[in-house]
Amino acid sequence: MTTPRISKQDFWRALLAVCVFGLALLLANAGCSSGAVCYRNTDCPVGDHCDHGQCMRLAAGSEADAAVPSSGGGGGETSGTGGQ
Amino acid sequence: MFLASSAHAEGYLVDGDFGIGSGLEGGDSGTGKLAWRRARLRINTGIDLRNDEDEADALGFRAFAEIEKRATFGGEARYERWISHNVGAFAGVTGVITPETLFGGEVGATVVVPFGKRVGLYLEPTFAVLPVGGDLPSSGPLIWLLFSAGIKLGL
Repeated sequence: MTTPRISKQDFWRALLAVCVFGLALLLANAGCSSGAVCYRNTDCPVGDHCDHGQCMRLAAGSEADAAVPSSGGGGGETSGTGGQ
Repeated sequence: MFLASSAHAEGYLVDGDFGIGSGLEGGDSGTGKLAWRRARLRINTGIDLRNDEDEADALGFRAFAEIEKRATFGGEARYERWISHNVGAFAGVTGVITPETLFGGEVGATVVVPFGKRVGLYLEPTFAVLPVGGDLPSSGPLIWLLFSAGIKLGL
């Protein structure tokens, strides 16, 4: 009885196919949390910053307590928690 | 020591590449938990410099631009070790330079599917951890699990 063997090239191709398929599956199923959450300051529009997942706009005076939720950009939420 | 001038005989083999990429981006939004989402689409271009006397070792330089949301611009510098002519691994530093900063390290692999003598399709999975920079809203690092693909040219 002979054991089927695969060539080294076929092995690499199969490994690559599995990686590509796995990544595609990951992106399709688990790729995104809510687009309303920011993880980076550049998720938010210019002039806003990301605070606890929400885009916040600093009011005049730039006091942290004066941060108000932004309505635009990656944060996109109108209810924030930053300093309120 | 002065014999080192014979190194002039050495040259560099230059490969250029251009591609696009995306993947997963993990970060802490401030809740203390790591959450994932799709990474921003990016375009990247760069060169690999290989010593013609030791083609297994190379230095790679990349520039990239994330083109979703607020566009960013960044770069990479990496040491590459080619296991075979078409399969390599690399490690280096990567970061976003503007409009906010973000820096960290990366590891990854490159597979080149040749389409001719000097042209190939490259496929590149990358894992990067970026713990430093003004783009981070919290103390947690940003994590990229990226997959890039594009054209690689022997220049």
